[in-house]
Amino acid sequence: MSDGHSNNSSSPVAEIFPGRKRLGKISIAPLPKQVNRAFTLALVGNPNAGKTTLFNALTGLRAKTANFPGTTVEQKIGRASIGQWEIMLVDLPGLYGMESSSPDEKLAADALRGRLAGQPAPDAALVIVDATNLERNLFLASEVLELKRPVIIALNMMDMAERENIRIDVTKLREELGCVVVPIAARTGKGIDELRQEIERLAGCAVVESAQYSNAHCVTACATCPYQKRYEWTESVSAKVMNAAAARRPQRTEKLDRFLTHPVAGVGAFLAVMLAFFFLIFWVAKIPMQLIDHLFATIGTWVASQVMQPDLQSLLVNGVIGGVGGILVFLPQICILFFALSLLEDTGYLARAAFVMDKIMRKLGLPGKAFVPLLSAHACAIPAVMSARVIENPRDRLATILVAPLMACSARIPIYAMITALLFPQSPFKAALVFTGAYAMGIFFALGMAWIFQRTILPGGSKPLVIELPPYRLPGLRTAFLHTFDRAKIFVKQAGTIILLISLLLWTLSHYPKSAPPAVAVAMTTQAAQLEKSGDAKLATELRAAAGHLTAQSALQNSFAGKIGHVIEPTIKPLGFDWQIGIGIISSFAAREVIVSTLAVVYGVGEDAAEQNRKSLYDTLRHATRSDGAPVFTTATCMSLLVYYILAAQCLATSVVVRRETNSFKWPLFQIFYMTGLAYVASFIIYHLF
Amino acid sequence: MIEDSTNLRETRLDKLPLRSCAVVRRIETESEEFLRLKSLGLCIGRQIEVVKSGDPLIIKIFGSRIGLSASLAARVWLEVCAPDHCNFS
Repeated sequence: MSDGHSNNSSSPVAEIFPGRKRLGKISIAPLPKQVNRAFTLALVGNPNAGKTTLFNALTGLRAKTANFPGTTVEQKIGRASIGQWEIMLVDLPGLYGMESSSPDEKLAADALRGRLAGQPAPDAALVIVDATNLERNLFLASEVLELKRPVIIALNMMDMAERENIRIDVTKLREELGCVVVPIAARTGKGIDELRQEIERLAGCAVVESAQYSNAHCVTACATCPYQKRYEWTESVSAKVMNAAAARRPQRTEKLDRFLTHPVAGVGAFLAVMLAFFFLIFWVAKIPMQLIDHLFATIGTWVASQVMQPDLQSLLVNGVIGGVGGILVFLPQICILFFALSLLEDTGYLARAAFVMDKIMRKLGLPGKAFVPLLSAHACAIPAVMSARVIENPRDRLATILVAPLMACSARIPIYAMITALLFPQSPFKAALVFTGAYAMGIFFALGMAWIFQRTILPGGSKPLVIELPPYRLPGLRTAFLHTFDRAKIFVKQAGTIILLISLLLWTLSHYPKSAPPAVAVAMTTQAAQLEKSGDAKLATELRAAAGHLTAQSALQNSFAGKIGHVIEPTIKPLGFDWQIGIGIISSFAAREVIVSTLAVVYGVGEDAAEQNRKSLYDTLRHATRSDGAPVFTTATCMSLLVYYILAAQCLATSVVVRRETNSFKWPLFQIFYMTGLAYVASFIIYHLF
Repeated sequence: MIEDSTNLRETRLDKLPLRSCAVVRRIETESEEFLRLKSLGLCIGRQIEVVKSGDPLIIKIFGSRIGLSASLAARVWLEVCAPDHCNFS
């Protein structure tokens, strides 16, 4: 298939591909500025044409995801050694045509045309064309060919086409298009070797046909009505090269869609899929999460046994290992989430779910696809904000990002558990009711705020639905794994750094300035030593532990964190919180659940109680009193604290990711402000109602 | 490709009966969404079929299925083809 063009080399090599790196014996002096610039090949194609699968097949793990400069639209850049060449493969966002309206498609088109600042036009384009939908896919292919840059067409899904009895005459298609056409099946890897050979040939400049390409018929006729004429052209080309008379269009997609896009049955199916999704995120993820938790606890114990200097020990165990563990414990949920999402998208179901949910979500000013982030937010707001990229429209995406953190994430569960246990120790039923109510409240406020934003700061409502419903296909595991790996990397890098930093900062705030242990604790320690001598080891240990708790309590009270707690007390007093709860709220900036262990220290139960002996923690909290002798955790305070934790923006890691995803400081700041404001007002009302 | 105009009548896409096929004749707006719909194949002269009516509805253009809001469909005028005209499987 590659004999016809290898001798056509009529243009001087360096003119077409200046400055590319050549590793073989023939070398062409590159332009000085472009030394070592690899040959860049842009991968373009319709969404659902198998672009990502092909990209992964060519580059594998040697890829990184980066935003287009100054935007939040991603492109993937990977390196592939093909023959003697080092090829830089750029996976542009999927697009249907060069005149598109969505930001992703516009950027892809601009990148192809070389109109982006700081990003030169690619040396060549690899256009991926879905063989089962040739007429539609050739539309973009012809537009790319008109850019007069070398083009290779990868005719993908040839296996599917064969199954559907669609015969395509590749030689004829090559003649019609005037460029190299390689039939492939990216999913199975068939034809990839041939494609690599063609890329190698192109990089070596043996192919110039495509540069000479001109589609005279289309170019002249398209001036008046580009779409109509171009589609007439794609239809005529398809008719010439394709024998679809005997095509057996699979009925599977149609049959499934009758059910899955049905207004009632479809919503039912959607709920079932979402239930399965929840099951994966909560129950299946629990096992690796506990493993990670144990692992870090073990490492902490080991380090504690090795490092004797108390300050350094505490810094390493609580600050560093605790911080890193606090990040990584969320990793299973995030991996499962993105893995399942990738599979759902690959099968084609995600488009159906968006289709079914669109009418319901639209009333709230959100697009159908917003259910992905809103659902993910029940695990963790960070992947939720990251997954908002499935929404193309910037307004819709922003609205979704702004409300997603109101959903009850898993870091809130320990707090809900603590408060419901304090409120209803005797009635698990009532406790479960309050727990469910907390979840419902998060959903209610998220949707309500979306509705309010639509009427205030984000007017215009969600854009009308236009969505391609691709044929149902078996998902590719490799794509899902690579996608998961990619997202996990972003999470650890973005959220991980900030969580670790905050963890270290909070450690410092709660350990300095240092204070002497209280007199009672000193006396208890002395007494413990005496008891030990007299042989009562058990009592001595208990006394020592009690002394330790008292020391920790006094240290925290006298630390910066304790002082900040006192400073903010007047502000949080109207909500029924005292300065001890204030310390807990501050510690929640690392992660919300930290308040539980902070309260354990503040109330002198010891940090271990939060882990091992919840009952003793709850008992202590129940009996905790204010300076005037009144109990701290009254029903009113508990309800107020619960509402505060449902609504307030506390997770700084989320804010950092929101900054990244909105490419501005304005929106994360606004989010912190509106969520915390909402929490303050709601808690105030609740406190005074009870 | 379809020149037979004697048996055609004009209708709006959101009113097009299920399973009937038609040819796009007029699109009444130039909004952003239509740019996308056009590159998806919903442009003048193309033959389409409604495979699910309602809001949103599903149409078939070439080999692909497109879901779109009825509000967009209401801007598209088509001519219904004669019964045996189309060869959708």
